Amino acid sequence: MRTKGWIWSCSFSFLLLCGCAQPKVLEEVGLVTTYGYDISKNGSILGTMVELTIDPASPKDVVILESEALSVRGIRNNANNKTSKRLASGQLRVIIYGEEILKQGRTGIAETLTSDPSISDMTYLAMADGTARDLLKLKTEHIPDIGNHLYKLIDQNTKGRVMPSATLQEVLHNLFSIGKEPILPILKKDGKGEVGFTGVALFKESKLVGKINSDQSFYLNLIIDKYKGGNKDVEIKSSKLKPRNQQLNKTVASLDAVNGSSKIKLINREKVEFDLDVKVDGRLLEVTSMIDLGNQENIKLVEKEITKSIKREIEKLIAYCQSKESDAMGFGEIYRSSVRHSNLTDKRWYKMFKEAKVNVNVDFSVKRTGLNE
Amino acid sequence: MKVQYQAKPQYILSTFILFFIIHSIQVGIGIQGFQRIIFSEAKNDSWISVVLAGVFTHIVVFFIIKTLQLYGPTDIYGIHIEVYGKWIGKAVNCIYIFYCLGMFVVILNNYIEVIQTWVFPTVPTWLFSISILLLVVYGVTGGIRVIAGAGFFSIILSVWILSFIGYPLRFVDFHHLLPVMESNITSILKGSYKMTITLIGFEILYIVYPFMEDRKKVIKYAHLGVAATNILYLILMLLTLSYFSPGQLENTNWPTLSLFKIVKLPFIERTEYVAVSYWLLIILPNLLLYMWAAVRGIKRSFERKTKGVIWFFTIFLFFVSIFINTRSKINQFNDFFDNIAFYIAFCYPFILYILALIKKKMTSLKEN
Amino acid sequence: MFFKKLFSTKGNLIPKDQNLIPETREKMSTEFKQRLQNSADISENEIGASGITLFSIGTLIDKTMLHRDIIDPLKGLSFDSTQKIMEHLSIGEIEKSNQMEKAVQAALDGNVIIFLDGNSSVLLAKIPSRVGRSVSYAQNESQVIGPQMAFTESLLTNMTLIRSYIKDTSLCIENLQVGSRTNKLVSIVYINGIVSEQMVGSLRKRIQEIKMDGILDSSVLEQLLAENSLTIFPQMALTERPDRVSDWLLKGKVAIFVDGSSLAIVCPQSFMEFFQSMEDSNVNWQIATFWRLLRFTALFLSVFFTALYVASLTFHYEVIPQTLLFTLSESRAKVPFPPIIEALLLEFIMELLREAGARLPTKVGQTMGIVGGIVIGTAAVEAGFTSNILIIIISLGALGSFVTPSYTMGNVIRIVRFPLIILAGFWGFYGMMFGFCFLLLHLLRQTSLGSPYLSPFYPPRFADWKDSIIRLPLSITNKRPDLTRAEDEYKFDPIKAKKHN
Repeated sequence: MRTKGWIWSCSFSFLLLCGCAQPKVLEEVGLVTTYGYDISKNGSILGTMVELTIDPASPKDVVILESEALSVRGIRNNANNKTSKRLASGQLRVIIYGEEILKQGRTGIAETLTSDPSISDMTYLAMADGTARDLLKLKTEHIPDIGNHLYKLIDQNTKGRVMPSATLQEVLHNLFSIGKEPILPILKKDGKGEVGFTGVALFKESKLVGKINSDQSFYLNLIIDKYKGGNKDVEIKSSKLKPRNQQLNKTVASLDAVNGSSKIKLINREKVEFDLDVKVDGRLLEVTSMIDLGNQENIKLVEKEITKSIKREIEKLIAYCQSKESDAMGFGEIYRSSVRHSNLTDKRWYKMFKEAKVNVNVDFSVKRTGLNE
Repeated sequence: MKVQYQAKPQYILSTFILFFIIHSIQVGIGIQGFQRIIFSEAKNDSWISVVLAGVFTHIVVFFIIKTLQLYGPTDIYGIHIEVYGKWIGKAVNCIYIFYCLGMFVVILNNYIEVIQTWVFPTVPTWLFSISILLLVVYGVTGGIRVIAGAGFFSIILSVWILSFIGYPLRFVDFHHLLPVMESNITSILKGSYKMTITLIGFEILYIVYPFMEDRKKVIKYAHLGVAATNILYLILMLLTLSYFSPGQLENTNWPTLSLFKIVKLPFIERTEYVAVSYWLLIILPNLLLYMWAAVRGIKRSFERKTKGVIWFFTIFLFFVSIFINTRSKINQFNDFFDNIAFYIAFCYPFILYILALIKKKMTSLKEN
Repeated sequence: MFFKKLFSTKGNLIPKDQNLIPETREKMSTEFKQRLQNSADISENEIGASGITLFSIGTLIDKTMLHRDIIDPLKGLSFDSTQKIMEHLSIGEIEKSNQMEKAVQAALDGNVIIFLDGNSSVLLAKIPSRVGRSVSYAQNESQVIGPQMAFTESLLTNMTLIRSYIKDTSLCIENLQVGSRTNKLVSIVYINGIVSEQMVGSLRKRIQEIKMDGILDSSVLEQLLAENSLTIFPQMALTERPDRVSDWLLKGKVAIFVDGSSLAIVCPQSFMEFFQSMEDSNVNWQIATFWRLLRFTALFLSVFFTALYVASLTFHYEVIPQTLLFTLSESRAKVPFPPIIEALLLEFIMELLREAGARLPTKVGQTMGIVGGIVIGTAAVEAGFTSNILIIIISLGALGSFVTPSYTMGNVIRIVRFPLIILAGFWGFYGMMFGFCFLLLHLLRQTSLGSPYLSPFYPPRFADWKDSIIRLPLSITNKRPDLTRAEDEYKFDPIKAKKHN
């Protein structure tokens, strides 16, 4: 009886081995590490791909592919005709959108991509200032692999809290939630052949409506996220502090190890009024002014001035967002969660947000100055 | 056949294994995607639905044990014969056996669907079906001890998955849970009803009961097992609600698996691939226990040899599973068994308890 | 079935009345020679005119003892009964018999048959020649801390060793004979009062039921005693260490010794115990725990690592982390085979090297390391035959299998890898999981002498977890494992022991 069972299972195993799965052997797939999406002249999608080709014999590690199609998936299929390896997006790290495609509101590309299980939710999204194609075609000596370079660049800056975090998960999360809009970091290629973070793109629903610069993105980050361990130069406009550099007539306080947290509270339902409490602390490293930081009084003074200028910046930022009807900070989310049966829709919220009043309270404290007193 | 069943000493299990049996059979395929279905009814109050459904499960389990305690060491097949008489009893047993087999197919096909969507889109259904069925045959022929062992190890070896909760926690926004009680009671209850297919499995108590060493402790471990499941579901529900935004959740078929998508280990970039395959170990005890329950039914009602019955069922289930191969067919099948499961697992225990009670009273009156 | 028939006919070969000792010397001589097929080593000594003849198998007896203790004292004397001779001789083991069959058997066992003409009974004096070696170092299960002795091929020496470790009145040694032709002496050793009577009983029954013509070593006996002959996993332990056997005896296990075998069989044995070494209890519990965890990690590494490589390279390139991606694809770029062939090939080479090293004489064996390491390893990578990352993985796997203290289990671990690699090569992670689930169910189904193989994990005996994958201080582990179903559950009274431990 036992041996019979043995024979049975053996024959079954052989049968099973007939149904081998279709292999995707590492060296036979073309690993796309970066996608770029632009809009072409006739309105179809123009895709640019960075394919990793690891061949010890060839000097270049990447191949840039371009193709045009009406559907997102079609781009990869069309590009497939031009490669020696089957393209696969399982190692995708970065997706870059061209500015035009976002202005037309075709962010939905990201949504389409998530139905492909091989694409990770931790893929970074970014917007190119100009076209994604130009950005990806960048070739300089110190950037042999633009895909990897962009990934490292975004990764480093996101972790360092310079850029707002925009992974596929977060962007989709905000895109689909009522009362919060997604943001994307903007990458720009400058004339010297370098790529840099220049600002943040603001959206209304899925349409690009505005941009803020990288300086303001710090304040946006402060509100959106728990901010931990960044550094920032804060500009101070005050008569009491004389700038060292008379020519520029600007005083700058350099902060390090900045920690911040914010809290939004709805205080008036009818008039839609919010309280935004921002708490920031950090190390004061440098003030470009003739002032003795050893003096406690002076520190107090600087603290006060920094508080003022942070508040001013945040108010400016909110006003800008309101004018663009882009609620990147998520006030709507707070409204929805505090008002029962609000039945909030995106459209209603855009109007309400425009009229909403936000009281900004900033609490800044200097934890310590640097090594020197 | 006799109503009571005294298991042979080598098949007796220590009672606290029941915790693992109950927990492992409840957690299986439903956990991968229950959040979306409930969310579609109860919105951001879905977690209340989970709690309500959990409480209801405890009540049902209480009545199941009450029913069993009326008879001493017996199982549902014995009770049926006792309550309904020989012929109707056997017919009801057959329905129960079909229910077990149906649940088997639901679990099997949903798992195959998941693995085909996520990992192997080109591998045919029959192949997964045969391979899993062979494992089940190998396990079920080993007897209840092996099956309970599979349940035990499937839990112990899956505990590490829980440690991944920390990753999505970085992205959660608890504002999604507010305001509490925004949905009305009806939709919350509807949400609870949708928990059926996720929660069932505890009815295996009806069948493993005579194999327990100390039947007085059954009530404790059965409730512990159910409680563990409920807590797990509640945590997952809260996590899912606060991790996904409402619109996102509506579009996500398997939110639990999608939660894995952001887990990034230094040596494994994409944990969901590992998780989907690893799920085989989690569903294995479900399949083993349902198959075993069905085989027990045949053995108890018709006194057939188990080995032939197992092979017969296997071949039968294989053909059923390759017939149900598309998404829409699977969904139809799921909905159908969702309804059946609700009545058999959640409602029927009350009826059976009342019937058994009446029968017991009547016989004692007759004797007097 | 076939064996049974053979035996029953053999039993009928000699009629019953011929079984008695013949009365005359000539008849005895012919009878004796006939029964031993006129073997050339039969010796027949007539002592003077006393009418005493000594029959023996010359190769089996100690010649000096024969002269010193039997021939010399009997020389020149005459006796009228065997009883007198017995009283005259000063030999430890001597007995009287009138059965021819028994006498011949005794001769095979190293006895001299002292035949007195005209007498119907003979004396059997045991003076076996001692061929064998003295007690030496344990080489296959070596350890740094602890006794270094190993069993030898002599059953007597082995018993002496065990007795010297356990000086207990309740230590039981039961002798049985196994093998219809080899007639090996098999000893079942256990400590009465600790061991489960039922286990000894079932073991005794199994040994008695063995119908095999020749059992030469305990490893053969182990295969015959195991419950499931289809499984690859060893169900009983084989060890050469007397301290190990003694430790296990104290835990309530049963040991079986076969005469002529330097390995003792110990059962019941659980899966976990194959990964425990005697040295674990000789060092601090923290260190022992670390070692055990290390071995367990090595087990998983060894079984699954190569399969993981094959699976992720064949099907799941997504899971490879960015940092590894470049190195992996670069090393794979030149390899002409798919990963499964590559892995199987290298595993095969690895096994070849191991087997060659084991079969070659020690001096030549050392060169195998050089051949394997330099020639095959380096050259294969340089020729683009395999990727260097796979070489690391395979060597890690091999290393992992060698840390297993039990040689038999180490073999199993190496073999189990192959089906897993094939499954991984066909179905990726799903295949690996399938293999894993199968192994789990398989292990769950196994028993060793009626005890569950995965004990103490399943059925869960939390008290025994203290000495399983980890080891806690000796003062806490006062309970004997549930695996042995010991009659006396406790090693010592924890309350009394607290004062000193």
